[in-house]
Amino acid sequence: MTAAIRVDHVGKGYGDSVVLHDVSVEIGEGEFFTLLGPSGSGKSTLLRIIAGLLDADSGDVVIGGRDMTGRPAHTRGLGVVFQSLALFPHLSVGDNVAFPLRMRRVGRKEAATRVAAALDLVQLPELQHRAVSELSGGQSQRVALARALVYQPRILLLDEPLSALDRRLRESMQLELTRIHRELGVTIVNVTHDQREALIVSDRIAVMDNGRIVQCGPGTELYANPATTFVAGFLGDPLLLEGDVVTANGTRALHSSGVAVAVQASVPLGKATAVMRPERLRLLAADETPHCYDNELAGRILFSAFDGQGTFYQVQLDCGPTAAVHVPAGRCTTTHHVGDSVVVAWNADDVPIVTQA
Amino acid sequence: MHSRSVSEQWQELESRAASPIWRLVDALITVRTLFAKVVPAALRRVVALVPGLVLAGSLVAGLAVLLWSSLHSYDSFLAVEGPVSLEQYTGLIGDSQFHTVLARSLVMAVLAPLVAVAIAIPYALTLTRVRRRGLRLALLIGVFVPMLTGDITRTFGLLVTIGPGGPIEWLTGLRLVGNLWGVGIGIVQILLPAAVVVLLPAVLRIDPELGSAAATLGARPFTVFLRITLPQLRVGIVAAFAACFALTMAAFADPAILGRGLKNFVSNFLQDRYLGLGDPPQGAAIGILLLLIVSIGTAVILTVGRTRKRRSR
Repeated sequence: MTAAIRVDHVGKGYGDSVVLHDVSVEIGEGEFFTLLGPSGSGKSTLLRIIAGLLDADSGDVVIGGRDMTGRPAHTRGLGVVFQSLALFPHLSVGDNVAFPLRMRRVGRKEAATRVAAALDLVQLPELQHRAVSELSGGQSQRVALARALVYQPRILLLDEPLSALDRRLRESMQLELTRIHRELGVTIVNVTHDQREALIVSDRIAVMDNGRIVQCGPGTELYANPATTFVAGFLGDPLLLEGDVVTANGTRALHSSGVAVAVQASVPLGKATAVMRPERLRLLAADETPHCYDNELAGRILFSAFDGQGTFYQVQLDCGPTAAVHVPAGRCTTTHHVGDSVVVAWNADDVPIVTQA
Repeated sequence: MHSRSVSEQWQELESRAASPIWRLVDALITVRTLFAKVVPAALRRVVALVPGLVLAGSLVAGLAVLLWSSLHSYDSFLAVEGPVSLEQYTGLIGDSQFHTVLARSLVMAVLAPLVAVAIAIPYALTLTRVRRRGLRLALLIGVFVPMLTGDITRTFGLLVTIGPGGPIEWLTGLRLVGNLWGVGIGIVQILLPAAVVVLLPAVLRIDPELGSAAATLGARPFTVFLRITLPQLRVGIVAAFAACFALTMAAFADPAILGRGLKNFVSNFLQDRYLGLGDPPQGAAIGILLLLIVSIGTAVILTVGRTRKRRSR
């Protein structure tokens, strides 16, 4: 896999505040790559540096094997879709999509066929002559996408374009993006703060925090083996149980606020955090015996809610913290009520242990 | 429970009710309450408009008097108003001096706004995009100084700069006073702040992301300016041009001082006829004609500017 984009020790700051700390990452040809992080983590800044809209203070950006230092945005030939979409309000839909072709002095006839093809690709063939102000949110999205793809760039950059859409539309656009990615084979760099979106669309995800890439890899790997508590907390909505890993009676256990939790033998000794994800935990009635799980913590139901896919419980554990447990519909017939005594149970290999803060 | 504790906390807060500003507010509320008791509800909303209406009404009344006066013949030697006639207007239409003055005003009222708006566009763009506060403040003060110093002070300041013995003449040897160059410079100077003020809202409304988007789509910075920024400023540009047109048509101080009275505009001509020749109805007729020309001109500019170009594709 050759690198379509190589970001090499890029740093950026405004005055005293540093936005990017020495970021390095390689994005492969044809990859759907997502920069995921909370607002202020530097993900948009990094995307703008790749696009050439911002200059890095240090480091290089290499695109397609060529160093981009000192090359302004209009010479880079990338497709960019902005958060605000930035459709030109004084031009019609067709003229918006034709704009990059005009900039490249493509002949009128060819431009017309390519605009039609691009609008076809985003499934909006009949809107050419519409004014931009007459479009719905989803349509604007598609027009912006068509405009960024019409000149067939090898790389498409997405700066949170889906964040303004409602959930249903956002999910259909996510599928649309993966379809276009498959059909065109372009490299896509996507910026988002939505962990669900990142997991759904991406081949690889880079989680950013405070101007650094904390972890980079396929979504499944990030989910199963978070490198830091930040990554663990950002993907999913787990209870983070902090403590010390010690060896007791020949087995490893995490000691935390008065309870000992069995962990896998491969976990190193020292400070560690157990990532207890709602969908990995089981919920048992307190009087139900015998149990066959590695770990069982007693508690009391604080709150329960049916969310369509199952039931979501909040359990006040006797040892202190509150754990969230999600029980898929159909798996377990017992329903628990608020105030019931229950046992939260899990096996050691269901709960990843993170040793870095 | 919660709200009660909040209201109890309020009681414990240090009270500022004794401060003079709150006293004033209390007094105003009392006045307002009394006022509401006396005046019927339907009239209450109109009351706030009264001062403005009185001022606007007095202008309309003044113009009506002028119009009535302009519709009379007049013996300027005996200072006696004659019978109702269109004499003043027919006289002006045949007056070659008026033709010259009107043509001069109209040409300047097209050229000076063009120059002023052309300067104001980059000025307004820079003003809104500059990051450093100090620089922005300097630009802001720079553009508004001509507006803040009064017309006469400003014009005399310019006279000292570009006039005989001034630094510009000393440096370049150009004679700028007493001809249309000097008048034009003076007018553009006073038009610039007006044009910037009218353009600013339009400039602020432009989404800066549009420029970035155009750049990523392959547009050079100048192309972005021509194809993206300018079209979005169109309405603002038209409005600024119309305002500048009206201001130039009414120019008085610049032709009088920088033109040395040799290059009169309509307003100077009006003063000559009104005071110099002592013919108020003639002056009134000039005023009415000027008002008419400015109104029609502005309306034409705004209408032409509003119609969208329909491009056939």
